[in-house]
Amino acid sequence: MVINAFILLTIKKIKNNLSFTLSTFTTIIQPILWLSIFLYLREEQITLSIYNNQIRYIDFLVLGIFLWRIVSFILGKFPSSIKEDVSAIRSIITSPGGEMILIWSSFVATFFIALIIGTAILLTAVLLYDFSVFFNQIIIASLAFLLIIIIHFEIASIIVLSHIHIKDMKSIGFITTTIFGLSAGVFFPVELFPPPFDNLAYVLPLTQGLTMMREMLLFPNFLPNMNLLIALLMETIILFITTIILYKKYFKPYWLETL
Amino acid sequence: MLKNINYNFLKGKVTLISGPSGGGKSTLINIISGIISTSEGNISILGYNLNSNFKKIRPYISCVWNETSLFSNMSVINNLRFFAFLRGQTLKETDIKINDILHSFGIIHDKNKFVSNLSQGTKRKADLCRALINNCEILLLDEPSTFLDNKSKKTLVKILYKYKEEGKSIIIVSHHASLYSNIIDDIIIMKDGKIIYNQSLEHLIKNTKEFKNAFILKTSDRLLANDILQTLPEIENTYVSQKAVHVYLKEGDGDLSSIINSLGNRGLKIKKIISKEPNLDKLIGEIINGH
Repeated sequence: MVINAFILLTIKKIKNNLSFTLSTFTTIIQPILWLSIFLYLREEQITLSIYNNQIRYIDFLVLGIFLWRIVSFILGKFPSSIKEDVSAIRSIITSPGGEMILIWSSFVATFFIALIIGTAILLTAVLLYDFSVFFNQIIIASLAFLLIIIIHFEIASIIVLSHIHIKDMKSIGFITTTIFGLSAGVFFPVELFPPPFDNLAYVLPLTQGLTMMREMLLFPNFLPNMNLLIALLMETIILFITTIILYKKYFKPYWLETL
Repeated sequence: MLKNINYNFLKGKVTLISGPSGGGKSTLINIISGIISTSEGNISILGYNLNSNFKKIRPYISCVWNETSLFSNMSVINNLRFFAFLRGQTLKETDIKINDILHSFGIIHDKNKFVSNLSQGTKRKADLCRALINNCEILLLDEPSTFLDNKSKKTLVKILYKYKEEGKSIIIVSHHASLYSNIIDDIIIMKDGKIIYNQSLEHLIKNTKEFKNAFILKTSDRLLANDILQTLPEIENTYVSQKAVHVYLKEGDGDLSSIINSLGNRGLKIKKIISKEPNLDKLIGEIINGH
């Protein structure tokens, strides 16, 4: 019957997030507006020369905005999704399995809305710019996407567990949106950064995942960059272990009370 | 801060914790329910240590704190369903229980309303429903009657009485002890973080002179009756209220028939003799003031 509790809470969280508010509007419409700004590029056909291949800048940009918005949403929304139910926190933590249901439903609801945002971006790109990708490496690209999602949920969990005192969790979303947007190669290739920032940008998992996805989806027959894939896998494992250690150490009932 | 608290809450008993504000009553409930940690000392519930076995204890405890603990942006019925599901109840049995208890508290028409849209009283009732439908072995209630109307207070006591009959343990924190006088077994009084009194209700009443040798007398002329009573040797004190005379006998001089005869001889008609009901709130107040 715990599954019923999980479904009930997840639906509530999704409904609350999708209710017609300014926040919903900015969450879903904003990235679409971002893309619309580049409408003039339809005629210009700006191309990028990467790995001796010519690709359309708009295709490069769409994947960047797609992944950037999703991870920014996860980082900002997951902690606040846990915090939004603080009014019931005492009952939750004193009920069997209550905190796990809270965490999992926050995770699923956040992921679901992140996917809606991603889908909206891709649909807009297809409609406005005839965006398309190569599907022959879709499995590797999906794996990179999945790892990036897991890594950012782990980072969001560490933010919650580290008990960082931030009154408005959305500010985390804002900070990460800005940092990632500027330094992860969302708008232009990191190779264009002045040294040493071109290499430093690869420290960010988003840069690694984004590069992999672009290589797999925008170029035909591109061999997977195993170094990036291993780096992503290692980061996923290290962050997972860190999250579990922090959870075991700090996740106490009375700790949640201070949220 | 709590100091030197050492107490055994007995299984199947209803314990009332009372005392002045800031005395540590709510802190004690918060510690027992596991939402506040202790800097030192141990709490054992049903044989499990609270700090190391909190997860094992949770299925047996249901709590109502002094603040409502429900999802504010969820309907009452879904709130109750959610917490019942967590305790392994099925949708069918949960909905039957929910409808029954919402009816009892008179808030069945509010079941589809969001908690954030409810009045304080209705929120309180919904929160009580959340704790009561779980049928847990231990019930912790911090000021459960706050914001409740008289009818709901009676409903609450009736449900708690049923819980007691089923052998469940109930701990109630309240300033209004007299409301629960029919169900209480033991009383704890706390002041400045310490337990200053802990006895059974029976012991408290038996050892209180006021209730051993006191009664209320309704006569044809209460003022005349008061004058006569004050001349009798077995009477320690009297006072006249709007409808009756309150009589306090000297200890060991409880011969009621001679008092009635003395009044009858002076032509007074005795309408009713009522033994004085214990006023727990007053009693507790006296104990607190004595410390």
